[in-house]
Amino acid sequence: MAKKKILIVEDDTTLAKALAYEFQQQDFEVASAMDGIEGLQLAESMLPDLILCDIAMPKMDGLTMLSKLREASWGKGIAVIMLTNFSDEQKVMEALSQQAFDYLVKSDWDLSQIVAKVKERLGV
Amino acid sequence: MDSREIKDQPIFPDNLEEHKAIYNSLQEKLKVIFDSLVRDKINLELQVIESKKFRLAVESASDHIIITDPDGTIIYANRAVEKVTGYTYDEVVGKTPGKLWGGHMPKDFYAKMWETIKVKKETYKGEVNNVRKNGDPYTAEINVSSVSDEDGQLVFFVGIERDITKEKEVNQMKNEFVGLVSHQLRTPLTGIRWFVELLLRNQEGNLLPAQLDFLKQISDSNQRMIGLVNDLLDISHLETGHKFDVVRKNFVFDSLIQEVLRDNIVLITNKNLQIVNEIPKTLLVFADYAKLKQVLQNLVSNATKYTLEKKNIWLSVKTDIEKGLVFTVRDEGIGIPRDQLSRMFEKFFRADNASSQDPNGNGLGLYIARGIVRAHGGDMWVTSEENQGTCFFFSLPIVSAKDQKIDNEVKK
Repeated sequence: MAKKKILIVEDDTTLAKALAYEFQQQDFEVASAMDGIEGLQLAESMLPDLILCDIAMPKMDGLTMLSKLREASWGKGIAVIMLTNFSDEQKVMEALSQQAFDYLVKSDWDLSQIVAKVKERLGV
Repeated sequence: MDSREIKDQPIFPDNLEEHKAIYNSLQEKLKVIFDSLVRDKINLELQVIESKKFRLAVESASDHIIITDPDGTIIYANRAVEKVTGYTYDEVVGKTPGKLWGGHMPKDFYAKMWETIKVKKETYKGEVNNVRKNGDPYTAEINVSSVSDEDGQLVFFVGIERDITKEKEVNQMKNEFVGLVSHQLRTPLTGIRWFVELLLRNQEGNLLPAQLDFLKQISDSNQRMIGLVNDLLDISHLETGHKFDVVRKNFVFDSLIQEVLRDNIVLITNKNLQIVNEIPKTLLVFADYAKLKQVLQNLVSNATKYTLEKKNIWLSVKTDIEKGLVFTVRDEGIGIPRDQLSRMFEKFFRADNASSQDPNGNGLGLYIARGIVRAHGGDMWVTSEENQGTCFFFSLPIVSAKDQKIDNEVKK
């Protein structure tokens, strides 16, 4: 079976590195972007199965990226999980209204739990 | 014969003695009256001094004080009124506060205030948003009492206001700062969490037991720090006044209990504690699942932490006409010293015996738990006997299906 493709959009290099390492270990095909603009470009070229997307990022934040993704014909169906370190901000509500489906507060989750959540979402 | 009768009578040598006696008695009476008048005069002077003293005290108090007639028309205002509101004494006397600085709150706020002071004749305490003469808004803590005469007839109202605008601004800034710092702290804490998790897996199998133990210690400290940051964020949300974002839905309370018990299973098993769950399995509640879980988690984890081995912990619920559902978490633990009971819900407060039992607690859990319950419209309280056990209660108002619908629509 082909590897599932995951795109990590996270501007904090430490966190991005941990996530990429973990998903590679778990046999995913992983690509990483540092901001929303890069994230959209990569998403269009690789068409990932799922995007893990940070909210606060330079150049283009995660929510703007998400709405642009949903506007594009190729991006409508891609599963997205928003990563945040804000807990009950308006922003999270906005993300939910755009059907990002899931969001999680990074500091409350282990890597293994994030992997479990992604797998559940992808049905693998 | 009294003094009136003798007035017109001629005085004869034979009734001279009688007249003398009457005049003496009159003189005595006059003396008594004179003495009493002197005393009254002194008393009056004292009263004037006394009332001057009170007037001066009221006049120069830093809080804004007004006296109104039973209809709310101002009959007296102290100097602070001008200082706070910008309106002079002459501008306020004869008018109602609503025509001056007040009248900016929703109608039901004033309705409730009037009912408290005029109908129930109780003191009204609250926070109110007013506007100064120059148009600047300000926030005040108000305290309005009714004053009645001996017959219980309302004579006037005394209103005391304290301008807390600055205080609120400082508090707001403090909370926003805490919020900001906490969010910033979460990113590096996440980095530590994730890389320690990777190391702890010891994938290459080359880490020594001592090294793994050290990593476990780092992980524990990191978790504590994350917990503290989460608590500080909760507090900053609770205290910035934007009410806790309570997202209510109907759920089976038992699923929440089971989740909480699972989270505490290690301590429950290690201490051989017996959990007696008397809450009906089918009980439905309308509340914010995640936040209510935080409340129960806090109470259950406290109960397991502070209860000695092989003891019981009871979970129960009953209905109360006024309060709605009243849940209890009762333990047979170390209890709370009587003199510290009233401080249990204070921020950062920890009872002496709790600190010795669990030195790592931060004293924020109960403060937040009560805040969450209050954001749901309920309340939390506690009873305890040292060395016997503690019982925490929290109430949730019962929400009718109609109001549940309204609540959901408001959220949308």
